[in-house]
Amino acid sequence: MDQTVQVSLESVTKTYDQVIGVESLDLRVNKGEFFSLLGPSGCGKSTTLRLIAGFEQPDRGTVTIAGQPMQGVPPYKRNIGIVFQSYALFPHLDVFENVAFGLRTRRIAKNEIRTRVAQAIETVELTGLEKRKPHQLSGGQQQRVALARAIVIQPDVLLLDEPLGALDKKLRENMQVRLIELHRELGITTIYVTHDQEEALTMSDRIAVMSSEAHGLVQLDTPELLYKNPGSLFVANFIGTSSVIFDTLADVSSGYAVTDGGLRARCPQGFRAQRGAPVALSVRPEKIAIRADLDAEPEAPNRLRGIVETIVFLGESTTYLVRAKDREFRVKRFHDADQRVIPEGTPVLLSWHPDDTSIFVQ
Amino acid sequence: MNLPKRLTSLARGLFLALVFLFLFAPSVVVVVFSFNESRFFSLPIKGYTFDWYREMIHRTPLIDATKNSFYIATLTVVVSVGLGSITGVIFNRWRANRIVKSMISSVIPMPLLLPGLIWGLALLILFSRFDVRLSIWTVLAAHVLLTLPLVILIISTRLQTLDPAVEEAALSLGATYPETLYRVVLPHIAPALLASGLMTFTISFNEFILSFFLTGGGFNTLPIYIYSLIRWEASPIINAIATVMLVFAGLLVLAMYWIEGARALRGISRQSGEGDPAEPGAPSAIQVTQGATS
Amino acid sequence: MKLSGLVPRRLQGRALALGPVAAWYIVFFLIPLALMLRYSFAFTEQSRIQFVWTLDNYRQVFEDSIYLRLLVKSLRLSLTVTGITLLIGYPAAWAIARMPDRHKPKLLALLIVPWWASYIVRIFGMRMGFGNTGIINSTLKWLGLTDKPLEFFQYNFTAVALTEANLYLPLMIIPIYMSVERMDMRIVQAASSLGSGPIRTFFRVILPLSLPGVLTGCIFVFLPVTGTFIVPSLVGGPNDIVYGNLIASQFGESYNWPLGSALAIALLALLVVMLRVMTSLARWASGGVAQ
Repeated sequence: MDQTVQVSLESVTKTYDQVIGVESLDLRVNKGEFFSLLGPSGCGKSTTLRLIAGFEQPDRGTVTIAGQPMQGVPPYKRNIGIVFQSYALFPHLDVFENVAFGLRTRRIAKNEIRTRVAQAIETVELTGLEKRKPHQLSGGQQQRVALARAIVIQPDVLLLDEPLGALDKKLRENMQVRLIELHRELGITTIYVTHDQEEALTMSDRIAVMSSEAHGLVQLDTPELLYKNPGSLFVANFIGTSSVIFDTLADVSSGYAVTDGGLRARCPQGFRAQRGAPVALSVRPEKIAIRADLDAEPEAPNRLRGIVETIVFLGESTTYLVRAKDREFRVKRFHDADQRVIPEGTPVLLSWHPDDTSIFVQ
Repeated sequence: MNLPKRLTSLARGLFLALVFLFLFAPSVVVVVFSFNESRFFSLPIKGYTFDWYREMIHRTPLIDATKNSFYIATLTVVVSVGLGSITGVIFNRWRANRIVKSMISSVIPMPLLLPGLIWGLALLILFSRFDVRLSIWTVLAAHVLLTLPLVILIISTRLQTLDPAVEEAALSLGATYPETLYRVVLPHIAPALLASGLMTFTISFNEFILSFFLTGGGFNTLPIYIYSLIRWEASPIINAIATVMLVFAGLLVLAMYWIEGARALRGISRQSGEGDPAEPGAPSAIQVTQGATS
Repeated sequence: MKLSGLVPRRLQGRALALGPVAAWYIVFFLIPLALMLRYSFAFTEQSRIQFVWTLDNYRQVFEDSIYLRLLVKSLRLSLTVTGITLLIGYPAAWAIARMPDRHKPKLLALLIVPWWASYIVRIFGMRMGFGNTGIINSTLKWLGLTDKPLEFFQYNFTAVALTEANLYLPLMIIPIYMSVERMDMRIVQAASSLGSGPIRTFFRVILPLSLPGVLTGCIFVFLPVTGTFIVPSLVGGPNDIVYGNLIASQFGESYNWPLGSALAIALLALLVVMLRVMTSLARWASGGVAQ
C-alpha cells in the first residue's frame, strides 16, 4: 500500500463552550486507506470529522490534507466529499442535480458534468432514477445518491459519518460490501465514522478507537490486532465481547503474569506492575472451552468451575452464560456433530489458554 | 358507529357551525347590506342596488387613502420580509450562547404583545418630538415592526425543516456561504417567503390602531378613512368599501393557504407543541394572532 | 485562544445583517417607550410641555377617582370578554381537535380569516347589529316579537363586550386547540378505564392538561381588551367609555400628553405585572402536570 500520508491531525484540540470535543489528538491517515474512527457517542469522533471537513476550526494543533495545511481554509475550498448520517440531500433538487451540485460549483463544462454524473449514478446503481426527487426515494437509494454526490467530485478524502446508521440490518450489510468494493475500485482515502464495532472490523484497513474519557485516541491498529491484543479494558469491551475477571497480581515470570486466583495471562509488551496490583483479565467467548465433565483433564491451564445460567442459541453457535467466581462468563461454542448442548443448571468447567488472555493494570 | 357517538359528533358539528356563524356574522351582514337600496341598516331589505359601489369609486379621498394603504402595505412587505428572512436565517443557524438567544427571542415578539394603544402613542410622541410629519413613512415604521416577528417566525419554522447538514453538504461540495444561501436555503424557504409576504400585506393593509395615531393632517389610510366615514357619515358606502376589502383579504388568505397554509399550520402547531406555549419569550405561533388585530 | 480567519468574518457579516433589525427595534420600540416614560414625569402648562421631573401626573392618576373607576371598568370588560371567549372557545377548540385530521387545517384557516379581515370592518359589522334601529332590534320588531326596541341590544356595555368577544375569539381558540390537540387521548381512556366518570375526568385530567393553553388564550384576549378604546366609542353608549378612551383623549381633545403618558405607563405596568402572574401560573400549571 502507498504509504503517503493523506490526512494528518497534529495535537488537535477542540473545545465547545468548555465542553471538550477532542484533546491533543494525533492521527495519520494513509493515502488510499479505509480508516475508521470508532467509539461511543461523545468520544469526539464526529468532532474529528468536522475538523477535517472544515466545519470546525481547531483551538490548537493543525489539520493537513494532501500535504496542505488547512488552517483557515473554509470547507468549500477543501476538496472533500462527505456522506452525512441524515444523507442531507438537497430536497428541492432531483437525483441528477444533487449529484451534479459539486461539479456546478466547480464551474465544470456542461458536457463533462453530464458524463461524470451519469458515471457516478451508474457506479451506485441508480441509473434511471435521475429525475426523482429525494423524497421519492427509499432510504437505501438516498444513501447511494449521497455517496454518488460525494465521489463525483473526486475528493482528496471521502468522509463517511455513520452513513449506514439509518438503514435496516440486511441493507446495511449489503451496503458494507458495496462500500468496500467501491473503495477498492476508486482508491479514495476514506475516513469512516461509526459507533458500530462490527461495521468497523468488517470494513477498515485500520481503526482508531476513541473514548469519551480520553477525548480522543485510545488505540490505533488493524482490526485483527485490535481484536487479538486490545490495549486496554475499554477496547477489550468495546471491540467484540469479553469476559472480565478482576484479580490481584501475584507474580510475573518469563513473560506470563499469575494472579492470586491462580490465573495466567501473557504479558503485553512493556507490561509493568507491582505485586499485589489490581488487574483485570479479559478473554474472548470463543476462546473458552466448556466441559460438563468436571473430572476430565482441562484443555488449558486457566480453569474455573461454574454453573450454566442461560443458553442463547445462535444458529451456527451457542453462547453459554456461565456464573463462576460470582461473575458472568460468556462462552461461545460452535456446533460439532458430536457435541450436545449442555443444559441450564449444569456445573461446568471452563478453561482457556494464557495466550488468549489479556491483562490490564487497573 | 353507534347512536350516542353519532349524536355527539352531530352536536359537535352543530356547535362549531354556530361558533363560525358568530365569527362571520359581522362580515356577512356588512356584505349583504352593501347591496341594500335603503340607507338604513334594518330588515327587511326592500331592494337591491349597486349604487353604493358606483358612489364609492367616485370618492377621491377614498382613492387616496386606498393608494396610501397600498403603498404602505407593499413597502412593509419589502422591508419586513427582507429583514425578517435575514434575521430568521441567521437566528436559526446561530450556535450562540443560549442565554443570549433566549433574550433575543423574548424581545422579538414584544411589539405584538404590547397593546397597540400604548405603543402607537409612544410612536406618536417620538415623531412629534423630532418633528417628523405623519406620512406613509411613520405608518411604515410601525407596520414593519408589527409584522417582523411573524415573518421571522414563519421563516424559522420553515427553516427548521431543513437539515443543517444539507447546508454543510453544499459547503463541502464547494459552494461558498452566499452560494449555499442562494442555491440551497433560498429555494427551500421560497414558499414561506411568499406566504409571509402575503400575510404581511394583509395585516398592514388592514391595520387600524397604530395607523389611527400615526396618520393625520389630511393623510389617511383606508381603515382610518372607513373609521371617519363610520363616525361622520354612516352610509352603505362603507359596506361597499368593506365588501371589497373583505373579498381582497379573503383572496389573499386563500392564496396563502394554497401556497403554505396547511404546512405552515402544521409547523405552527408542531412548534407550539414543543415547550411551554405560555412562555412569553418564545416567539410562539399563537402570538401571530395578536399582530392582525392590534 | 487563537481564532481562525473564518470565524470573525462570519461574525462581521452577522452583525451587518442584524444591524437594521436591531436599529428598528431600538428606534421605533425602545426609544418611543423611553420617551413616553420621560413625558409621564413632565407637565403641561398652557398647552406647552414643561420637561421637569414631577410625580404630579401619577399622583393625579391615583388620587382622582375617575381614572381608577375607568381602569376598574376596563378590567371588568376584559374579564367579561375573557370569560365569554373562554366559555365559547374551550368547547370550540375541543370540537376542532376531535374533527378528522383532513378538516383541521381548513377549520384553522377559517379561524384565521376573520382576524385577517379588517378590524374596523368587523367592528362596523357588529355596530350595524346594535342600537334602537339596528339589525337585531329592527328584525325583532319586523317579526312581531317586540313592539319597542329591547334595551339589551342598544349601544351599551353588553354590545361592547360582545363585539370584543367577536374580535378576540380566535385568539382564545387557537392556543387551547394546540394544547388539546397534542393531548394523548389514551390518557382520557385510561382515566375512564380506572372508573373515573366524565365530569371527574374533565376536571382531574383534561382541564389540568390543557391549562397552559387556556392561560395563553386568556393572556392574548385579556391584554388587548384592557387597552381597547375604539370599540367602546363605536358600539358603546356615552357612559361606556373605558380607560383606553381616557388615554387616547389626553393625546386628542384634552391635549395633555404628560398625563396621557402617565396613564399609559400605569396601564403598561399593570399589564406587565399581570402577564408575569399569568405566565408563572401557566408555567406552574404545565410543570405541575405529569408530562
